[in-house]
Amino acid sequence: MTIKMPPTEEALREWMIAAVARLARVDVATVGPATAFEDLGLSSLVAVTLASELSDAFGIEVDALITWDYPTIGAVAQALSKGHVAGSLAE
Amino acid sequence: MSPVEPLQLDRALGDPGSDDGPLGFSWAVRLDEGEEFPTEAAAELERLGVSSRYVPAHVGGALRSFEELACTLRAIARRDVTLAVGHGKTLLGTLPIFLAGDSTLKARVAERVLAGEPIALALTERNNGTDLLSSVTWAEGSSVRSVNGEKWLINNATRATAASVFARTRQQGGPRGFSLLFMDKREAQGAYATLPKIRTHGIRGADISGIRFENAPCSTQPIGGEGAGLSIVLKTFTVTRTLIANVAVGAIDSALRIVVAFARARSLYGGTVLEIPHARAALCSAAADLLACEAVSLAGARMLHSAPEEATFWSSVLKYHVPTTAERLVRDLGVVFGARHYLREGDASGMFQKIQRDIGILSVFDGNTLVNLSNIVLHASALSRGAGEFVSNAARLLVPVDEIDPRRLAIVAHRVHGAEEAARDALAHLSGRNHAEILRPMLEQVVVRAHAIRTKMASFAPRGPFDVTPELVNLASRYARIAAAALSASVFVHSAPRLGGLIAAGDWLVLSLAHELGEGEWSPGAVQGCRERLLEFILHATERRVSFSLLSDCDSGGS
Repeated sequence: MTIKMPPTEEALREWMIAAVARLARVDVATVGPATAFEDLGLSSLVAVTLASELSDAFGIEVDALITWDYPTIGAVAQALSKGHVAGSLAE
Repeated sequence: MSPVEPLQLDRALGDPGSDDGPLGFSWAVRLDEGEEFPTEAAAELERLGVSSRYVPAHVGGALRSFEELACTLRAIARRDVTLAVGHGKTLLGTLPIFLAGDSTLKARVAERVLAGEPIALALTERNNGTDLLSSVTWAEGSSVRSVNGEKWLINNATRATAASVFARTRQQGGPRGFSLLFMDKREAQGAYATLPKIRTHGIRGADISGIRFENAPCSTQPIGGEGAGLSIVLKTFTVTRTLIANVAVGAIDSALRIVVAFARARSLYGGTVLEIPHARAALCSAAADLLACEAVSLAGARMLHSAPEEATFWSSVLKYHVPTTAERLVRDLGVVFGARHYLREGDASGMFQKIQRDIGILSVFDGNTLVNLSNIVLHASALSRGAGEFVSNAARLLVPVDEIDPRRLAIVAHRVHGAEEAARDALAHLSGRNHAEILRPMLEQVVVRAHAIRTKMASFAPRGPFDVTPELVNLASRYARIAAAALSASVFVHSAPRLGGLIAAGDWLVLSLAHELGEGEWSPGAVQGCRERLLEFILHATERRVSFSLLSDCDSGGS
């Protein structure tokens, strides 16, 4: 089994800023690490789809509800760069 | 006592058309007129052990397969939708616990349900409806939480002895700001008040009311942990949406039966209504759509076991498609039934108009039509990741299933094998099946249309409810219909060899696909032959007083 290194926080942040700007249909310049998904008008369910996109883009396992537990771009990037994958077992 | 086997329950419950007792049409209509809960009928269900079907086998119940539960609810709904909703809604209150609760709470709730106690889900509020994250009912404290607020439009809020309550546990809210709390009314005596029964258009006897909490104590820890409320509710809905589709199937079974009996007996212009070509075609078309709805509703229940990751998508397909199809069928049947469809007495004691009113609720609760269509749109990317082999085990009706793994249920699926994969899978297994040559071009057309709709749907990517345009709703509803068509074909190819009989004859599939794809283009002669054979089946089933079911030949053990 190969152990995959998690992507860097910076790479994750950069990718998410572009992805979130595209999803929210706003100018990428208005989106930053402190931006909360909710503030851009993304519903909590639409935010869930970001987990799938992150998984596709970086080839890593991403907890489906990561955007619920970490409600800003910066927080998600930090959690993933530290190898956060699993949510609570009950969920 | 072990409960009656699901496929034998319909027979065990007797013929509702000729039954004067609590499970008959005349009783159900009388109670509906008086807006009374079907208490005696619910007691009959208890006597037959139906409640044990709501409790998983590993905590002492008889729930092993949601397909069996689907058959159970369908049989009850054939008698009375009010009864199916009033009795079955305990599932909504208890599934959160059985899916995500700790073992102590599971055991406690199992005991209550097995003793016949109704349990409610206290979810929505008067001012917020489906906007769950705006709920204001809140809970504070740690070991014993104190709940304040009001829940409104709650099934069994008054009859229930306990409820799972959706409450804000973090002031700022958000998707992690809510929890589900098990509120035992016995422990909260004096700290809650139930609200008066709300008068409804259909299911008039149901206990749809509300409950207000004032410092109501809750000593159990939040189900699945604090902040898990929203995710557990959404996963519970994945299960209940699938089951509601089966309730709709039971209701249309009775609507069709009532009109078939009328059409045979009613003499007009020197013949019977059944001899009028439009009436015959309408009855056959209804029968075909009913059987196709049954096929997908059962497959959806099986999907909870065999592909739980994808079930959120398919449950929305079914929750949209089956109740809205039921509404259309009952409207179409009403045309054949003539003035009688409007009467609250006479044929079948006036049951038809009750069914027509009752089924209106099925597309509303546990996520309404717009919510479900939005969920389908949300899966546009997941559908594009779904190329590959369709999860065909869902389509093998009556094959034993693995126990459900709640951890595999998703809120938004990462990958969904959708309409294209289901239709391709059906095409790959079509050889040797009845009507293969007629069905092949139809299914090829399903693949083409599904692809076109999905691609267009993917170009929208809404940010939230305010981006859901009429065009998008139209695309999602078309996708749901074509996905249901594909799934019904998958059920046909995978179940026909094993089950034989009506399901393998395939007339129902030819007719329902011809209807979905537009009639007239698909070998009119063959379609007419399918009609005549299906008509023979419904006349025969009406005489035998058995359910109009693909599985009607599979319950020979019944007496």
